[in-house]
Amino acid sequence: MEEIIYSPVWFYGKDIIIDAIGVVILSLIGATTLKYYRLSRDRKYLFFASSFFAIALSFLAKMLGNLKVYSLLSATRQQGALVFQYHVTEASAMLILFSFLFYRILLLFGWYGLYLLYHKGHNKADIIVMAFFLFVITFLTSAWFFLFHLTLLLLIGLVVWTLARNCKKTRSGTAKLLPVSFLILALGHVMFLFIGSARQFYVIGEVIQLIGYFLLLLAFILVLRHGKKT
Amino acid sequence: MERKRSRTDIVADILSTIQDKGGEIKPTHLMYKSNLSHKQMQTYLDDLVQNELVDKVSKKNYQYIIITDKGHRFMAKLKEMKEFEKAFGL
Repeated sequence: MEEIIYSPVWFYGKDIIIDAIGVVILSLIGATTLKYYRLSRDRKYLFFASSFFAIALSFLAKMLGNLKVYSLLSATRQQGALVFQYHVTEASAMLILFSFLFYRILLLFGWYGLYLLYHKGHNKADIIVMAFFLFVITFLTSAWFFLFHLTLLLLIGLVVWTLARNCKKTRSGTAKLLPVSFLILALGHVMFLFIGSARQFYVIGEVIQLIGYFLLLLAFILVLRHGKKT
Repeated sequence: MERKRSRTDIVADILSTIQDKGGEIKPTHLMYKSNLSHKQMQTYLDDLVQNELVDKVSKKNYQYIIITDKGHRFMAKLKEMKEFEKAFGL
């Protein structure tokens, strides 16, 4: 059985807004990086942009799934002693399942792309094997969300590690914000590990993710500003 | 040992050399300042002229390479890109 609703009732819809903000910020960074690829024809920018777009698309898929689920749940009405309940059609059920499947697969592969970019030197066989395991995890984690968030935590953690080392090398103030923002995003996923015990952890995780994305946006704006000044 | 310069690095070197010389430079000076052979420099210059990033002008019987407004904007974008690359550790 797949559990798809982690949010408490009072938070319905608010998580969609948070995800929408994430989509905008990630797409902005992805679009800018794509511009740099057109300028330099350096494939690392294309790879970077693709990873960010994949993560943004994953949130769009999650938003679609949540929108459908919340609309179905709100379709239950009580009139006197009678309760009218909307029965989920097969089409709706398929839409919801595929939305959350695409959410998991795109988010995992988006972060995997960033991990590969920051940890070069893998041979093709290693990349294929790792990609296969991520694919398997996507399907296994329909019932085991814990494993999904743990895998993401590992990938984000490795990216943070590289960014922190880069921060020491460059000694740039704006570069310091980047590992911090990614660390906060990782912290959001730590909260998601506990949503099985209390729904409030979902709320905390979403809010922490929002802070992380705003910090990422701030870092991005500062980097562009500094680039224009030099 | 320094890594080999990419095409973008060479273009950035050429344009920044012209900018450092006040926006115009003689071809021979450009060749030495940007560490290019004559043939390489001609190839890059032809490309840059075609893309309207630089222009060739004659002044007092000497030929000069001048950077255009488009060239200045291109350099600004390149600097922004380099800053992004440095900050994001790419």
